[in-house]
Amino acid sequence: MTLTERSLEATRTRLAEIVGAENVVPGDRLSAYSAFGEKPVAAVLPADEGEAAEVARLADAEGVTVIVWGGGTKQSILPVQPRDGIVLCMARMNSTIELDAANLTVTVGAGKVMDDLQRELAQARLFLPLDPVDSARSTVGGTLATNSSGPNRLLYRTARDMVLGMRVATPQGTVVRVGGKTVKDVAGYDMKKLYIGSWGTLGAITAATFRLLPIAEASATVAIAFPDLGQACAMVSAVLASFMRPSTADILSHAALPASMRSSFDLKPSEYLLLVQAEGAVEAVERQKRELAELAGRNGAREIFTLDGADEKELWRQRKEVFARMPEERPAMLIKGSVLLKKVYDFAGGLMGLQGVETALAAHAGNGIVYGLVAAEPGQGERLVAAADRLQQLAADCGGFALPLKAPRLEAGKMRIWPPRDDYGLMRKIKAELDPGNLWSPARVPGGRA
Amino acid sequence: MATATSEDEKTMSALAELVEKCNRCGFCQAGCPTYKVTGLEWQVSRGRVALVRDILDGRVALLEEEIQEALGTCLRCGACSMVHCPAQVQTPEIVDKAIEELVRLKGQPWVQRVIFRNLLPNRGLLDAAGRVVWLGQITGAQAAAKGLGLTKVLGNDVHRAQDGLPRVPSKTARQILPTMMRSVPNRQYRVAYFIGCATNQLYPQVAEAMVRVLFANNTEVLVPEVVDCGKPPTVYGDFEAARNLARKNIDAMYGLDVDAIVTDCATCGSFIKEYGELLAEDPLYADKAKAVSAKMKDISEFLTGIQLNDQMGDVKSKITYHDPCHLVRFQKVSAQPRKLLKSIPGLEFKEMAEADMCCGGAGSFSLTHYDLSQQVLSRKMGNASRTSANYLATGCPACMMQLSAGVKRDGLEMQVIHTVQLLDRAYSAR
Amino acid sequence: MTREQLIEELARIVGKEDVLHSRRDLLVYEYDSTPDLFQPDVVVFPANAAEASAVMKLAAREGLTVVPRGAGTNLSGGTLALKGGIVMGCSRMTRVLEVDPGNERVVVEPGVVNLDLQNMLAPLGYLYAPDPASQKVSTLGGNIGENSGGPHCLKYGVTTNHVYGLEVVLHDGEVIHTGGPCEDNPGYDLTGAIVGSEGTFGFVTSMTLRLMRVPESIKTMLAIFDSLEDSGNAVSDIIADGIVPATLEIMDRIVTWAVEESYHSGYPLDAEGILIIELDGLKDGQDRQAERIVEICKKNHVRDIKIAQSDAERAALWAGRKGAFGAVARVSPMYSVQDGTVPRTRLAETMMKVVAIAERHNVKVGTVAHAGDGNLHPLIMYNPKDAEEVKRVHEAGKEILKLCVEMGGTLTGEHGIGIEKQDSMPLVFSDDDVAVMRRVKRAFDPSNRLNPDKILPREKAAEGVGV
Repeated sequence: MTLTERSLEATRTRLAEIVGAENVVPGDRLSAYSAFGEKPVAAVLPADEGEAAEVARLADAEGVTVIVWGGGTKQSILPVQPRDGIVLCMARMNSTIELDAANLTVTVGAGKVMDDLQRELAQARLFLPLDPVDSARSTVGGTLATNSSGPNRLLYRTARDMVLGMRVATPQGTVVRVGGKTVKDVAGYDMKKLYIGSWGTLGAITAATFRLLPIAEASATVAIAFPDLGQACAMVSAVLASFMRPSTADILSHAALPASMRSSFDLKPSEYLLLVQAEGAVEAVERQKRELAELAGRNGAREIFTLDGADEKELWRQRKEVFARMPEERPAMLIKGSVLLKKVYDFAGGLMGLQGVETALAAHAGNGIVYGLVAAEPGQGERLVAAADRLQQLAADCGGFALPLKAPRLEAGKMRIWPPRDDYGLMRKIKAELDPGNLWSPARVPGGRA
Repeated sequence: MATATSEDEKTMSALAELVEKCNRCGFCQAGCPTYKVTGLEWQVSRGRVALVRDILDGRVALLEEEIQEALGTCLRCGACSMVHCPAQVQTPEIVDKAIEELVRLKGQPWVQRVIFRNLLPNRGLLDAAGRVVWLGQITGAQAAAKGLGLTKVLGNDVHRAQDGLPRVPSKTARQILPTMMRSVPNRQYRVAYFIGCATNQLYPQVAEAMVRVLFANNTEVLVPEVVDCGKPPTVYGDFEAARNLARKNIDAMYGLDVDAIVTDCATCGSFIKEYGELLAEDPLYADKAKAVSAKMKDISEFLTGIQLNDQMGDVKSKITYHDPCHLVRFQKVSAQPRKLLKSIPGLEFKEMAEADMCCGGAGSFSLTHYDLSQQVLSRKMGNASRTSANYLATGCPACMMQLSAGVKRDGLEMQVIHTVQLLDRAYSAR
Repeated sequence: MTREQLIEELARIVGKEDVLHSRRDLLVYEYDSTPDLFQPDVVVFPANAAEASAVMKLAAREGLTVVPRGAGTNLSGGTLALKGGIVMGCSRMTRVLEVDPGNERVVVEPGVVNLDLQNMLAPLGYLYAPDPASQKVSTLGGNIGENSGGPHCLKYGVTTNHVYGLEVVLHDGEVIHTGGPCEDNPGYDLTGAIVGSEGTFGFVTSMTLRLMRVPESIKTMLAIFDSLEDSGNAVSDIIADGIVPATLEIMDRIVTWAVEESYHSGYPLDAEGILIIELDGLKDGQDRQAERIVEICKKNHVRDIKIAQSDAERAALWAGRKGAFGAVARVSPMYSVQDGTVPRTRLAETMMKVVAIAERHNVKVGTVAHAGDGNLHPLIMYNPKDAEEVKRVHEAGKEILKLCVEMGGTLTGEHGIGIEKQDSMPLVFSDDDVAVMRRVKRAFDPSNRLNPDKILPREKAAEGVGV
């Protein structure tokens, strides 16, 4: 429901009562909470879960839309979510509530920035094995709500595999506990799984408890330049079939790389870079370095680089720049394909072979995840729509699906965002039960608006 | 229904003690063949025990047909009690006792009574009965009777199972063996050879192989005048008949000057080893029974316990082995037959999956529970055929019957054979 | 609809042989592995999703409850038909539909026994990680219902971490497909919600599971400690050293004594804590890590520590632990298995407090624990004929539950809530917490007919449904 100017003032007053006037964002600064070129009607920053819950209660009473905001790094992901409500920004809820190093757990407020958390954990020689590319700005809550992950998902999996418990502010205005603090916990329903990846449609995550790991003794990354995509994919298959347990297997095309990486590896425009990282015992890392180099040679590598220490850290920092920004001068689409492992080459090849557009590729090849950046000439935005359609068909043939993540608003409106599934009905029922007023990010309901 | 007697009470109280050990963990499902082929809870030990408990609690009656079915379908293979049950609940014993009680209540079918109490103890009569079957087979009379559906009178299961019965040979082992008997020049051992009914009537070639193999190992052989070992009546709850038969056998074998009593039949061997328990309450026979039990050995136990004659020729073949229940579990004999088989030159041994799972023969099970027997057999045949072996070796003529029926039914290129027959071939190939 | 009509209708759907309704048949489906008995009105075995769907539709029309059943070996009463109704078993759905190591996936029907799948995968060089102690009888469908664990949870997680997608029949017969063979499916993680829902959300007819490559090398160690505290400290120190073992199992003195009684494995009867530690992965560096573990154990006053040098030795070290429940059963056929979880660092303390609780209630208890993840299984032994003792066992069990929660843990690590721990849910969840779970249950099952009255604390106004 949209607010009229008068009811808006009343609402803002009530919000100020809840969070304090200084934590209600003034009108002239609301553009900081925009997306799709729209400013929200209001934005607040609660201090704790109690205030967040009160805001939820207020929204429920007033029938106002709520959009949860963490670091704001994924607000522009499709589908388009109009800003016709209150942005609930969790940034102030960023404390480390408990770091239990002996038990390998940490409980943090949802507003904690991911990199900040990792820095704190590193002091205890621990890490959270979740490395989304926007970690410099994204928050714990946002990472979980968007189910973000990074290259090391190959070994460490994703959010659902490391969250032990959460606290959530519900649309009813309560704060609930889901899960707990232990790895083994089957008490009650596994609500954590519903909230992870819920994109703010079921409430706001206010805190989370994670399972941690000790920082590995040693690590090294082998970077391999391949003349063609097929060789890179073949090498990934060989790695998966071996006894090695690398933590990443990323394939990047030339166009996807930041300039620094292109020059570091002297990558030719037609070439592909495969990054395989091994972490663990010193001897195991040494062995994998050797074995990877051998495998690379057998699969037609043009050149093999081995990095560790500061160089390795820098490499992975640069990796985070891949697809960090959309091209500004031309219409472009970021699309995410998820296909069967054996079909990664077919899909990635199909992406790179699209005609009439420019393409770049960044794939977590060992997980079947392929990100593609498709750019068209100015004025040729319809080619993006056709490309999305083509890739969605191709992904389906490869046993999976493709999701357009970012695209210009006009073209996005012509794309099919949600792949066909038969369980959207049930998802909508869950949404209807947990958010009967349909106030929380209503445009993101799974399957799209019915 | 008969009024409760002290025998009934004794059985019921024994049952109560046996069933209360079951805490329903369900681990019996891991090995129970009838559960594996039906997926039904009343076909697994836990279910059978639960029903006996329900009988004791008065929730169902032993005389109900479905209850009898649940009990009768137990193969008594021991996979539950002896392998998988953490508390070692004695389900075979529970089922045996319940059936014994049932027979007491219902009365024994007269046919069974005649067979167990009149036929089995009389060797001459039993041999004659065997000749009748042989005659029926070679004259085609049996086939005709089957075709006309006459054999249905013996029960639908018997009617259908008869094709699986082997051809009865023209001579019994007892008729053949005397011509083979001789003294052994460098005699090192002497054994008494207990010939079971199935070997005697249906597989005299196994008996011949037994004798030759024993001779080849400098072992003199005595063949005492025995009757049926006594196991069959117990399956139908007639322990009295079993005891009578046991006494006759003990009379024939007690005090013989032999190093061991050997047999090629897992079931006979296993049951004779239990004579001590069977007759524990008989003041006249208790000690003798124990002595006879102590001397009883399966042929593979005996042969692996001596310095085996290794002068063997090649038997080029691929073989797999089926563990008879009464050998692997009831006598804990499984390494010995394998050791013997692997000692044969030229022989490639391939272990089958679930080698120790019951074949579904369980004596006369195929005659009383044809479909279920066939289902269990199918699982065994699947496992056996997957080894691509050309010989399926085993250590029990009852298993041989069932396995042969399976090979025939499925048209497999596999020959069912007794372990001792392969040894015989190896010695002959020299 | 009369009972006869119901049976006829069901027979038309699944075939006469697969509808059980006689006195005998119903008696053997009134139990699982808990002491209570609840008889269903009828038991059916569908062969596929279409049949299961038709049964569900019929149940919906007639307002009947439906309780899914695998092997019926769960330890919390999840398979008990509290309100009669239909028990729907998966014994006819036992096929492994697709084994696809190249894509690291396997598609199976719910009635496949966990160990049977493992045995099928082993020759291919792959495994399915969740290996609960019941694996030789529990079905994969049952594992999904309970979100089963096993000794390898510390490193590999539990069932939910290895399930990619499900085919599910919902309360009204609709057949849906949650998740899928690929990762990051759009929308809500319905698969994750259904795993561990103890059969209260729907009837699963097919599962897509994750395959993993077998580790190159496994190193197994057995450490004997004179005190639980020392063994607990050793566990903590191993983790603090940065080593993440694949398995860390512990047995206390009572269990060790039972194991010795049964198997004579050579364990000293006065050892207070016996630890089994397993490392897996590339063999490079394993020896050094094993030596480091030995050092750490020695620092914590270990009496003796052995490293297995062969597969046979490895099996021997494990035999005692694997036979632990069996050994206890031999000593005392009736025992109540508890299933609490506490933070790992508080495990030793919890185990000692459990002993104290047992003493206070005059019952005998032995504990086996997955030391790596703080999940403990006190086995309280009792004589079922002694009603007084049974009561004391109940009381002790409740106290142990409370203790686990007080220690910062939870009610159940593996066995589920079922009916056994329903009333203890308030120890961990507030009314608001439970309210949210009720909403989700309502989304899946608006008429509350799917395995009703399980998990969530019973509401005052119970809805009665029946034939």
